[in-house]
Amino acid sequence: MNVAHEPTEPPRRSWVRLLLRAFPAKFRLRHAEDLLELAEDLSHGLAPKAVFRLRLRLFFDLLYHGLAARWEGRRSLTRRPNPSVPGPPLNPRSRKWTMAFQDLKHASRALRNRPTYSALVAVTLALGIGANTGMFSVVHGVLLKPLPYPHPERVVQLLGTIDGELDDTPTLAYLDFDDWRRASQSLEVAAAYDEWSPNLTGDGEPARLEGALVNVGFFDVLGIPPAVGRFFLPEEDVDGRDRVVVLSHGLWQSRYGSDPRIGGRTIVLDGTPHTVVGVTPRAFVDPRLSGLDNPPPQIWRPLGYEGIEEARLPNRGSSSYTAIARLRPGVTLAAAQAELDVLAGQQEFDFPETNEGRGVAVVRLHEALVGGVREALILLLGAVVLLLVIACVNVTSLMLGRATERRGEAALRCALGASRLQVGRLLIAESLLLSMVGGGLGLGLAQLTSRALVAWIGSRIPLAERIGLDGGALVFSFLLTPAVGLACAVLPVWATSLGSTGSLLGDGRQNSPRHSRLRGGLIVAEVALSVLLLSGAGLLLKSLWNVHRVDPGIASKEVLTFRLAPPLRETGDQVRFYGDLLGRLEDLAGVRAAAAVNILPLSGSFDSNPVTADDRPPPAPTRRHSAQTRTVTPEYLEAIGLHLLSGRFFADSDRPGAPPVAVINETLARHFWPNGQALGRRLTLTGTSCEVVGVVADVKHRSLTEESPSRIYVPLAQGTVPWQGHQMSIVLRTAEEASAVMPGVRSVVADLDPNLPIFGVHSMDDLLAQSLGAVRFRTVLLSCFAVLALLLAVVGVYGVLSYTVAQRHLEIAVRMALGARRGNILALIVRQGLLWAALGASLGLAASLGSARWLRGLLFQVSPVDPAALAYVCLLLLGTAFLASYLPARRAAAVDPLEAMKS
Amino acid sequence: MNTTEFLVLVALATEDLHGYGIVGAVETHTGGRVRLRPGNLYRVLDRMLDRGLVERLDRRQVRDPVAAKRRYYRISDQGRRAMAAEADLLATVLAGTPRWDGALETP
Repeated sequence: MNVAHEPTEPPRRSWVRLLLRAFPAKFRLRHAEDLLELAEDLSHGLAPKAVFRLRLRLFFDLLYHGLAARWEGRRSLTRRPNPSVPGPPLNPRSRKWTMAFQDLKHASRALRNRPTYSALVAVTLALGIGANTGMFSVVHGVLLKPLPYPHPERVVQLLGTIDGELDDTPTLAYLDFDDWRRASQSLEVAAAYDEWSPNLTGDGEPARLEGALVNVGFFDVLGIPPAVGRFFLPEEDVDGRDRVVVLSHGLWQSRYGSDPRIGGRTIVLDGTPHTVVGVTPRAFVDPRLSGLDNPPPQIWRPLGYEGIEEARLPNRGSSSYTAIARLRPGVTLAAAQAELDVLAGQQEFDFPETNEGRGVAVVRLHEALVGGVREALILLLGAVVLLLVIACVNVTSLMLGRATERRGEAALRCALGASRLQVGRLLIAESLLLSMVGGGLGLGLAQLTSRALVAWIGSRIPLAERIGLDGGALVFSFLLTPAVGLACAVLPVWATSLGSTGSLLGDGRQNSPRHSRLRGGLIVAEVALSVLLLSGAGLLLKSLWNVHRVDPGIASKEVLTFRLAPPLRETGDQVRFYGDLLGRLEDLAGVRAAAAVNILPLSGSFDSNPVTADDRPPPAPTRRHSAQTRTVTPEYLEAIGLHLLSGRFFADSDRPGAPPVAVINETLARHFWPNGQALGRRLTLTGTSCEVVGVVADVKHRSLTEESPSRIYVPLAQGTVPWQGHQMSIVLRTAEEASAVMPGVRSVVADLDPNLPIFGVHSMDDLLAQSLGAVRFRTVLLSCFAVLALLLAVVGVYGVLSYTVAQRHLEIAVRMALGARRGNILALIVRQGLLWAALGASLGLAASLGSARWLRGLLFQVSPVDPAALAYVCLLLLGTAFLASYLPARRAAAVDPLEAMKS
Repeated sequence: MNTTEFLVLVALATEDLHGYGIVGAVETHTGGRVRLRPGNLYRVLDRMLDRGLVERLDRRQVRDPVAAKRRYYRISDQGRRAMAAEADLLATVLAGTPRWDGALETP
């Protein structure tokens, strides 16, 4: 039932409710609802950046005033009007709050007196907490946040399989899907969709839109209401009544200025008027994975297949549809899979020619979208947790030093009757205060890095637009911050509580062996974790280097590409159009060669067709070998820089009426004729028998790390694959900066057809870079974390050794007085530092070897136990540890023994 | 009486307002210099309710269905008296003796 809806936004009150717990119960009873409503009113109509700032202010406002209200309440209960008159004893609960506030006051004063120490700790914690919050926001937005549909766990995608394995291009045949839809008991509603790219003309610049043709149940599967107007009605899925469209929120805003009266408006698509019936909501997530060359859809239209005889529908042999469905309530994924397996099995039996070996996999939509990046994201989350642990170890080490310094004061308090816990409480208060400051700074850091990440990731990580510092990330940070503060205080408090009062009252500056062993242990742990992170980063960097060195098979420098889709159906018209166009383009200054091809390498698109060798018996239809099919003009070889291995490429003589020809790549040649000559043999493609006249080198298809599939090229002029001439990419090899020729290109195209939009303008280098996007993303990120970890470890080693040197001041002076030379002192200190580092490095190496298998899936041509990479990492770490030890050692050796013994 | 309490009473002097309305009125009266946060505002209102300076209206008394969802506040007679006394005091201080005139100008 489609009803027009007002724009809706979901309320976000849960974290505000949580914060209101800071207020006393009586206050909450009186004012909680009003407060919540006011918070909502204040955020109404603000831009996302302003909403984030408001939420941050609200956080501190509610926390402060809540605690202050409690404090006021306790004070008014416990205030004695006349101090000389003994009053009733303080309420134990109010006493706790009083003491807590006092601890915080003392702690903040103590920290203000030690600004360097406080700043160092706060910044260290900010790095750790900020990085974790930032990474968590990525994981939350992509992996954890459910899709914005009601009951998203019931929305599934149907993927085609061959012999139980997911097909390389897992699309379905419409008739197969239609059978399942009608017969299935587990699917509440299902919809197929197909790509559609209409030309929008009429008002404004002609534009090429990315869209989809869908069954009308499509929006019912997703279950979200439209932002404006309505979605499709069942009667509109019929051919002839399907000239209705739904627009995306982005298109409605950018092209139609968010016109609230868009419903009913007529727009012209491919020369035909269509009526706009509705607009999708802003937070809509389309089930298709999008990339640089196929952006998310902006417009939807019904397929119009209802009521058509089966004979006129696309036949079962052609599978180019994708489908989504919503499971009935209570139906499990396994049950739906089992049912569809049975239905697919029946189709195999009924239609052996087309359906042998064909099946279907039912996968939750969220999983289908993000399954490919899950591994990498979890790895990065693990890395950032390690970074936080290192930061905490650093801070613990610093606090241990501080606890040692204050042993005298602690002993005095104990002697005056304070329990060990009370003495330790100050340390805890300091730690919590510093972690809150660090947490606040970290939030700012996370906001910056989160934005930078999203801008950089772009379209290569699915659902990237849902990453942001939202409620979930804020709650995470809010919980992590005090946890970190407490964790850093544990060891120092425990260490302070060891030993008797007597020993505490001893010289507080003596270096207790237990304390120094503890600190040494912390350094070893830090170094070990750093080695683990660094080795992971090193392996990924080597892997990235290998990927960069892969030959894509083309010469991508100074190549400009763009797409056109002229409304020409007949091959003859297409050949004339492109011939004319390419001729004019080659005449432009700065253009060395111009050609056309249906699909560019590394573009993320594909079109494969079955190919058979004429000199062997034909296999069963579903067992035929598939090859990526490319329709090209003769100049393509030169324009894109293909390597010709034998024979020739196409020429003007390969025209209609001439014997059909084809050029194949080495993989296809090896497949059919592994030992022999491919030239002169014959292949059949889409029913046409072609002679192989040339063999070219492999060109990478979807990514540089995958093996090249079989590929066959046919000339546009011969129309061997007629539907491929509808939409072509024009490839221009330029003599200079590629984009400088665009103005000339636009005027040439406008001369030929003023209503023809140019779209998808990219340089070949851009496409190459985009295909590396995901690999580069995780490598650079992990490397950043590893460098930070190294920095923290170095600072840790330096800090602890400096402290040790300061504590052993007297001992060093005595040694020098007894004849030790500068060199001996240097060696003493440096040896200590290197010993810890070596121990840590060994432990870290062992951990790296142990966790090698988790990295395997992310590496390219690199073994996870690559000895060279691991050796470099260890050397790097030992080298930096040496430097970190040398500086304090030099200071120690510069001590004047007489002065030291006097002081 | 502190400044925030005074500003809230001034906001309520001419009409009954809900929380969002009070925030807006205070911002207008102070030329944008004072923006009350929710925690602060309701703590102040809580205190003023306890001291009888403002009253809270029952939701039923307001007719408009949208406004009926909000809880409105009204200045009480005691509140008016307190506000007038404070305003008087401030006016006296500002008018004051001539030696104050120079001191109150920003350098």
